[in-house]
Amino acid sequence: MVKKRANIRLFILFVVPAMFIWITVVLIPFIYGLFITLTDWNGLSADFNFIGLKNYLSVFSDGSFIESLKKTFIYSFSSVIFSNILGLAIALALTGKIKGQNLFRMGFFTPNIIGGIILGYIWNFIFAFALTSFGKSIGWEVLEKSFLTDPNKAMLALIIVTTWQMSGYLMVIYIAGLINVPNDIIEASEIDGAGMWNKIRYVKIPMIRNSIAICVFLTITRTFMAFDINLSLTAGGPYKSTEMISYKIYQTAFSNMKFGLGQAQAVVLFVIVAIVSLLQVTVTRKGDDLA
Amino acid sequence: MKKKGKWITYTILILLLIAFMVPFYLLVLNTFKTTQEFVLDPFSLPKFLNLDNYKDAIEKMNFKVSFRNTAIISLSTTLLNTVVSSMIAYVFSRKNWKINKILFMVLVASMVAPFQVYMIPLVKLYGGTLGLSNNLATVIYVGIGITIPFSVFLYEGFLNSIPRELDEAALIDGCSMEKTFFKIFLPLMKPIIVTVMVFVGLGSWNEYLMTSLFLTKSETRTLSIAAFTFLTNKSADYSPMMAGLVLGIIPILIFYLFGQKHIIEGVVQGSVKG
Repeated sequence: MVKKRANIRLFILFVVPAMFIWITVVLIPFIYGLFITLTDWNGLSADFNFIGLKNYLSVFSDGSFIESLKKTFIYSFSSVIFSNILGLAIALALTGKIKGQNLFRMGFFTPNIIGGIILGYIWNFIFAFALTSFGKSIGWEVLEKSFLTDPNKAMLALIIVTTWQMSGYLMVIYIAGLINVPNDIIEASEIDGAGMWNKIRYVKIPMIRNSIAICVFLTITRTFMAFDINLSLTAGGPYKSTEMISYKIYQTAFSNMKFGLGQAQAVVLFVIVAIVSLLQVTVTRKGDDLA
Repeated sequence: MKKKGKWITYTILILLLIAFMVPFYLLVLNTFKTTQEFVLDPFSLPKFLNLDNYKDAIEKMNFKVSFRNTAIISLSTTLLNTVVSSMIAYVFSRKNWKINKILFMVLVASMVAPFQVYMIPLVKLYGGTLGLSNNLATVIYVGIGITIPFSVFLYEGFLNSIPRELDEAALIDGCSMEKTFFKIFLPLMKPIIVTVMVFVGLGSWNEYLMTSLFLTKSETRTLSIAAFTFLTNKSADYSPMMAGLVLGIIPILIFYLFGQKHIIEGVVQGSVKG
């Protein structure tokens, strides 16, 4: 009896506060969000109608949403490739008994401590003024016109900035993975006459499979949820050429005042991210079994 | 041959690092020039250390107020999140009640959901129905709620690695579970608390999307929102804007210089386990 009382007290004091906050901030809005998708609510008026699954149908029949989904895929795919290759390359270089490893690591990581809004604006100035001026001075025509005003190149600008930022982040995870590769395995491969390239290809990379999986999935979810940089670097432009899914949801809800449709788009994003995360869990589990 | 390879690596790394830093260099460089000088040649050196742009930006961004708001939000979110998350994680780790298992599973599962999926209902419920917009406490509360699953996950993992003999000894001595937590576990959790605090604090400091949905009045703006409004006001006076960006970076850069080890460590732990 006394013990039961103590347990109830413990539950109320230690478990309830966190659960209460989480339920009111995450769970209730999530369920309420599903309800909103069944309505044509505009975010302002008090009344709305139930329209069933119409919003979900509109999501997929809406060409502009599919278009932004496609753009997100292109952006995500390119960012995953470039930032992982660059991040892994830097990590490999830095773990090769280099002096000043800490300083390099700190430098490459710097873009990640700054918010996406500010980073986007910094690059806005770089693309609009610095690169164009540089292009003119060396007579390189590609650079003379700002990437951000060209619908064909604005996406490239986003990928460049994301790669610049993410590679430093991934580098840190890759370094942690590479440090854990047992030294005797590397030495054994050296005795077997493995050169630098073979050591990387056949020893180090297979040993950090898990880090690679983590980094790849991390980049996928991060890029699917990217909003800040999309807003401050290109604002979806020019001519909506860089309107990606998270930005699109925001626009649908808060600019076009279609809350039901916007929430349905958000649910679609949720399903995509959830599938990616489930895939990650299966892939990393499998990796654990093999190791 | 080996030595030569090392030199090549060094050269490439240094060149790459310089390339990485060029945007920051150009940003700072041009804050000391007039907009005309900047547009004419972004690479030229400033004639003298002209601080007019900074004065201008401090005024237009309402720097003092937005800095204060950002600090209040990040500190409160981080501290309160630490308190509630470490406490619930302790019970999850020490009591294998059925309800704990269910709650922990639901919390962890919710980490998958992107913020966008709560965004619209949150605005409707807190901003609309409850009328809590333009209130720093709203943003702090929502910030805590969103970061709870991640923090609980990390704390629980850490607590599980602490041997159970320790709490048994304390309980025999007549300590209650609550007392044991504050007296014995909290001090032991210091490394993981620092990691989680850095992770949550940094995210909260740089937060834009959620904050911007609730804080619209100029006296409640955070640094990110102030930078955003300052830079979208369609003026063509770029140099003060760049000074505004530098002002937004400086506080976090100072933090980084002192706590870089913890920040980077936090990132590794956060992403590997999360």
